[in-house]
Amino acid sequence: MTEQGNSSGAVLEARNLVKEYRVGSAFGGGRTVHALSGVDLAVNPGETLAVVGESGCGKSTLARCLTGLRDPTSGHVLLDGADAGAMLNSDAGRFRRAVQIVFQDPYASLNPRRTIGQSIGDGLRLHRLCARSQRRARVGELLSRVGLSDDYLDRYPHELSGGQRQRVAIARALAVSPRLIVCDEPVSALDVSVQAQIINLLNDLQEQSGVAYVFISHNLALVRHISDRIAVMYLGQIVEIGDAAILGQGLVHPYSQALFGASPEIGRSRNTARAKPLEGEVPSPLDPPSGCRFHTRCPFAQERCMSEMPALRQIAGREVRCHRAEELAGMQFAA
Amino acid sequence: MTHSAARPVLAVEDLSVTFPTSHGAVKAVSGLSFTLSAGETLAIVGESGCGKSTAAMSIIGLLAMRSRCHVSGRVLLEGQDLMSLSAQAMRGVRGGGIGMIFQDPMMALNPVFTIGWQIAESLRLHRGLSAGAARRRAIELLDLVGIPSPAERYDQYPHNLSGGMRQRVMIAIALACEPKVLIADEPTTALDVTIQAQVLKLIERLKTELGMAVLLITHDLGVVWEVADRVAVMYAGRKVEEAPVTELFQAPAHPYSQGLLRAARWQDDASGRLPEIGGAVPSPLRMPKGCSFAPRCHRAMADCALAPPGLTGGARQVACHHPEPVAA
Repeated sequence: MTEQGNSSGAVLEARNLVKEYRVGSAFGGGRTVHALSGVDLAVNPGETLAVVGESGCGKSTLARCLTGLRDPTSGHVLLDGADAGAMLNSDAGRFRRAVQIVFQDPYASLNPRRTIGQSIGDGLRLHRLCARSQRRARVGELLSRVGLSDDYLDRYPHELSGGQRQRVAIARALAVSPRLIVCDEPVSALDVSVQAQIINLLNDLQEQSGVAYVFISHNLALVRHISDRIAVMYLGQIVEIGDAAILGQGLVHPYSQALFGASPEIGRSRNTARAKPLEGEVPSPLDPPSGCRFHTRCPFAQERCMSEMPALRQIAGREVRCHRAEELAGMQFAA
Repeated sequence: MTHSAARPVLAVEDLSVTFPTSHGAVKAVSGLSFTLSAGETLAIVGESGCGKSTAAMSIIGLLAMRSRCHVSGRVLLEGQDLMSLSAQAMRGVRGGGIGMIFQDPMMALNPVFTIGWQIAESLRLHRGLSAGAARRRAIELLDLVGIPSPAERYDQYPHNLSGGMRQRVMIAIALACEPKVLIADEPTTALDVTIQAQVLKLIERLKTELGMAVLLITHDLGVVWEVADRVAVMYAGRKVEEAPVTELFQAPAHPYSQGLLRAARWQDDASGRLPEIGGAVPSPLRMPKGCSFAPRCHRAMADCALAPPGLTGGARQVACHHPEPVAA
C-alpha cells in the first residue's frame, strides 16, 4: 500500500483499480483490453490532482470509474473511506452529490432540447435540494457563479459559444455542491483565449468552495499551472506521481521525461539539442508488453525490465515505477 | 539554408472569401496577402473561425467547387495565377505543385483503398508512371516518411494503421510529386504529443531535404515556436500581425497577438491568475464597424470603433490603431 493509500482524510480514493473490457469477436474467443491495471491514488479535500498521459493510457477510463459511470473489474473506489460500489447500489444519490464530472466536449454533454435552466436545475430537482419555487432563483445564482447572467436561463445550448457551454456544464456540476469534480479535458475543445477564462473560473470556484478536482489533461503546460499533484499514466498504470512542485524540478521516469520533453514549449531554445522524440508508438492495450510496460520504447531498458514488472517506489520525493529509478534520479539531479 | 532571399514561390494577394448565408453574407477572409519562399515555413495562427483554414482551402481552389462562396484576389504559384486556371489545370496543381495535409487523416484517406494504392494514384495521374514504377516509388515514399516495413504496409488499409502512421501516409501522398509548396492544416492536432514531435520533425527534415515551402495552419503557438520561420496572426478573417517568429514571440505588437501568447504560455501573473482575453470572437454576421478586436481590447480608444486599421508595411506588419510599443 502506498503512502496515498492511507485512507485518513482523502475525499476519494482508488485502490488497486482494474478495468478490463472484453472486445467481442464474431467467431467466439474475444480479447481483453487492459484499460486500467492496478491504479492507486487518493484525492485530498480542496486539492487538484492532474492525471496526464497520451490517448489510450486509461485516463478517461479512470475518470469514468472514479465517478461511478463504469464499474471497475476489480479494486475499489472509496468515498470518505466507504466503498463506492456498495453506495451506488444502496444510495446512489449520496455518491453523486459528492462526486460530479465535467466532460471534454460541451457540444455533446448538454441536451440540445432542454434549456440551460432545465439542464442545471435537474440536479436540484432529482436530489430534492431546493423547493420548486426556489429553483429558478437558485439556478440563476449558479449561473452568476460561473460568470453568466440569468438571461441564459431560457436559452438553448445552440445559442451559446463553446466557452459559455462549458460554463454551463460547470454550473450543472456545482448544483449539488459536490466535494470533488472530475474534469475530463475540460478546455481542450475550446479556443486558447477562452481556455484561460475557464481555468481561472475553476480556480476561483475551488478557492470559494474548497472543491477538489481530478484534472485529466494532455496539455502539460496547463497541468503545471493548475495542479497540486501530478500523476503520469502509461498503458493503464501510474508511472510517476508526486507534488507538482517536486515534479517541476525534474522528472525521473523515462516516459514522463519524454512526454514533457516532447511537448512544444514557447521560449525553449529552438535549435539546441532537444530531447530526441520517443520512437515507436504506444503498444496496444489489448496486448500490453510483459515486464515493465514501457520497456519497448525505453532508452534505458535492460534485461530485467522485459520480464519483471516494477512496482511504484518512493524516490526523490515522489513515487516512480521503474527498476532504474535510483540511477535516473541520480542523473537528473546530479547536474 | 539561405532560400529566404529568393523570389517567393507562393504569393497570395488580397484574398477575400464571402459565403452567402440565409442571414446575410459572411466574409470569412478579408484582404489576406502574404508571400512564401522556398525552404521557408510560414505559420498562420488564429482561433477557430478566424478564416485560416478557409484561406488554405481557397488557395488550392477547393472552396469554389463545393459551395456557392465568392473568392476574389490572386494566388500566384511561381508567378502563375491559379485563380484563372481551368478546373482541369487546377487538378494538376493540386497534388502536383501544391501538396496538402489535413488535420484528420482518417477523414482524408479513402477507407476502401490500400494506402499504397492511394500514394501510387497520385504518381500515376500527375507523373504518368506505370503501375509497377508507381508501386516502387510509393514504397520508397513510405520508407521516407518513416513507416517500418513499407513493402508490407503498402497493401494495408487505413484502418490497419494508427493515427500517427496515417498522418505519415498523408504526408507521403502530399510529397509524392515533390510539390513546391506543402500546405499543412493542423497536421498534428489529432495526434499525441510524442507522435506530434515525430511528425513535426519529419516535416522539418523533408522541408530541408526537398527545399519545399511550408504553409502551416495551426492554433498551437507551441508548435509555431518550434517549427516556423515567420508567423501571421489572423483574427476574424483578417491578418492582424505578421513578423519573424522570434520577434513576434518576444514583442508582439498587436494586443490580440499579445493576449494569445500570454494565454498559450500558461504563466500566471502576480495574483496567481492566468491573463485572459475577455469576451468572445464577434459573430461574422455582426462584425463591428471599426477594428474587429476593439470590443475585447484593453488598449481600445474611441477611434478604434470608427474604422478598421490598415496593415503597416515591411517585414513586420501590424493592423492596429494603437499597437504595443515595440523596441526597434
